[in-house]
Amino acid sequence: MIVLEIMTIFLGVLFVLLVPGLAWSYIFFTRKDIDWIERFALSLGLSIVLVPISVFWLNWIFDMKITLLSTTTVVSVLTIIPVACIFARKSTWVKNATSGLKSILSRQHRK
Amino acid sequence: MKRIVARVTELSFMPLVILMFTLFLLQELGILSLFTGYELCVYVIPLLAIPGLLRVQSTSDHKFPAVLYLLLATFILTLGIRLFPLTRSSVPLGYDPGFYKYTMELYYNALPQIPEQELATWVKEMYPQGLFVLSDVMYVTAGTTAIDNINYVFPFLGAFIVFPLFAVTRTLFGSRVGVIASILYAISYTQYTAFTMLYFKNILGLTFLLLAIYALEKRKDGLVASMFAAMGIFHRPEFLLFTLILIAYFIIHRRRGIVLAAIGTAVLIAPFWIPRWEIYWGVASTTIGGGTFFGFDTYTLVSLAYLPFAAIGAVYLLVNRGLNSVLFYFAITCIIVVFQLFFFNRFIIMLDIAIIILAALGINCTLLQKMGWQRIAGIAGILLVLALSVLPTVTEMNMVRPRMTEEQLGAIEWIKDNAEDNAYVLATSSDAPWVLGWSERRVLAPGLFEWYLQSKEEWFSFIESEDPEIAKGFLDAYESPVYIYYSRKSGNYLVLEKFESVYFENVYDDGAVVYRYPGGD
Repeated sequence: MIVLEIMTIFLGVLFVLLVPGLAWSYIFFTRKDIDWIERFALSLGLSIVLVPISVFWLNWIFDMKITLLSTTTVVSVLTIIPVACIFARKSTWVKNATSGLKSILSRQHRK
Repeated sequence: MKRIVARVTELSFMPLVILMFTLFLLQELGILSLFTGYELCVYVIPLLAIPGLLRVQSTSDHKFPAVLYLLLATFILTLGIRLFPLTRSSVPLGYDPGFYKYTMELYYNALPQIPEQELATWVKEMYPQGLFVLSDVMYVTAGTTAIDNINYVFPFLGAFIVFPLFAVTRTLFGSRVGVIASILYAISYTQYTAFTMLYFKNILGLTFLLLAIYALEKRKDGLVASMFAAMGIFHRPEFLLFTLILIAYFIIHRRRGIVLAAIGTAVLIAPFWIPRWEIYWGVASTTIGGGTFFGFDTYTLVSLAYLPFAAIGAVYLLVNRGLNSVLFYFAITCIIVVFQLFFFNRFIIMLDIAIIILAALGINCTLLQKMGWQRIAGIAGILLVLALSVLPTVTEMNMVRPRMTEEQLGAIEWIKDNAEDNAYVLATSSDAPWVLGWSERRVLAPGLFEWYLQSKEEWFSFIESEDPEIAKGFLDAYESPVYIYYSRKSGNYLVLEKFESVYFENVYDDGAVVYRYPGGD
C-alpha cells in the first residue's frame, strides 16, 4: 500500500514538474541544439513556471476551480500544445501549405 | 626587465597557491596556528595571476568526456548533504518551516479556489502566489503535503540547481568550467546555509535566475520572458536583480528581443501583481533592512578558498571584454552587498552563485592551463581549494539541528488535538512560526501575524513580568481561552513564574510547557 502511495506521489510529481516543461523545451530548442543535461534543467524549470501561471490565469479569467480533473487537464493540454506544434512543424502537409501560402503572398506582393 | 618580472610572477603563482592553501588547510584542521588576519594574504593570489591571465586565449572546451558522470556525482553529493539532517530528525530545519506549512495549508484549505481577499497582509507581503499555487497543483495531482514539500521537494530543488548552473557556465565558458562551478556549488557553505535556513523561495528564485541568464545568452526571448515572470511570482529579489541585469545587458547589446521579453513578462505576471500592487509598492518604498543571513565579513571567511579565483575570473572577463550577463550579475550583486543598499545580507546567497561561476572560470584560467608538472600542481591546487571550501560545510552538516525537538513539536500537536477550535495560542517570537504551522490555531506573538493587539513595550513588560495579575490583564484583551506555549530551548525567553497561579492551568509539560488561561475571574 505504501509502495503504491509512493509511486502515485512520484508519478504525480513527475507529471506536474517535468512533463509539460520537457515538451516545451522542444519548442525552444530542437533535439540537436542541446544535450539532455540542459534539457533536464529546462524541463523542470519550465514546468515549475508554466503550471502555476496557467492555473492562476485560468482561475483569474474563467474562475477555473483547482481540482484533480482541472489540473490534470491543464497539465495535459500544456503538454499537448508543444507536441502538436512540433508535429505541425515536421508535417509535410503543413510545410506544403505554409510554402504555398508564402508563394501566394509573395506573388500578390509583386503585383 | 618587464618580461623577467612577469615571468617570475607567473612561475611563482602556482607554488604560492599550493603553499598558501596548504597552510590555510592546516590552520583549519587545527594542526597549525597562523597569525591573525592571515586570510588577507589570499588577495595576493589574483595579483600574481595577472601576467599568466593575459596569455590565456579561450576557455571553451567541448570535449570533456567525464562531464556526465561528474555532474551526476555532484548532484548526488549535493542531495546527500541536504538530506543528511533528515536522518537525525524528521523535524524540518530553519526558522521558516512553520510559515511555509501554514501558508501552504491556507491555500489547501481554500481549494478549489485560490485565496486572495482573505489572506492577511503579512502573508501577501512575504509570500508571492507562485509557490503556493504550485503546491496546490501538486497536492491535488500527486497528493504531496506541505511537509513533503519542505522535507523532500525542497532538498531536491536545492540539489537540482547544479544543472542550470552547469548549463549557464558551460554556455559561457565551456564544460570544464561548468563542472568546477557545479562542484563549488555542491560544497558551498553559503548555499548550504541558505538550505538549512529553509529559504525555499530563494532557492527557486536562483534556479529561475540561472535559467533566465542561460536563455538570455542563448537569445531565446520567449524563455527569458517565462523565467523572468517566474521570478516575479516566486521571489521578488531575484526579479529585481534580473531587471537590473537586463537593463545593463540591453544598454550594451541593444537587442529588441529583450524589450519584447520584458513586455511578455509584464503580461504574464499581471494577474499575480495587480491585486497586490499596493502592498508590493509599500514594501518597496519602505526602508528594507539587510535580511536574515550572515554578513559580508563572514562570507569572505567561508568563501576564502574560491574568492581570489572569482577576482581572477572577473579580471579575465574584463581583459577579454567578455561583457556577458554573468559579469553584470556579479557587479550588481557586489554593489548591493558591499554598499549595503537593500536586503544586502540575503543578496549574499545570489552573490555567491556569481562568485562560484567566476571562481570556476578563474580556476580554469590559472590552475588548468599548463601541462606537465604544472598541470599536476594545478590539480593539487584545485583539490586544496575544494578541501578548504568543504570543511565549513561538513562541519555545519554535522552540527545543524532543527530549532525544535520532536518533543517540543509534540507539545504543539497536543494543542492541535486538545485545544478548543477558537482558542488563541500565545508564543514567543522564536516559537511562534512553529506554533502557527502545527497548532492550527490563531497565534499571538510580539510583532508577528495579524492577531496581536498590544504594542512592543506592552509585550516586553508581559514577557519579563512575574506578576500573574499583569499576565491576566494582558490576556484578557483576547477572547478566551488562551493557551501559552513555551519551548525550553536556549535563546527562548519568557518568565514562567506568572503562570504558576490560580488563573492558569499547567496542561502539558514535556520538552515544552503549555498553560491554559480560561479567562474570567
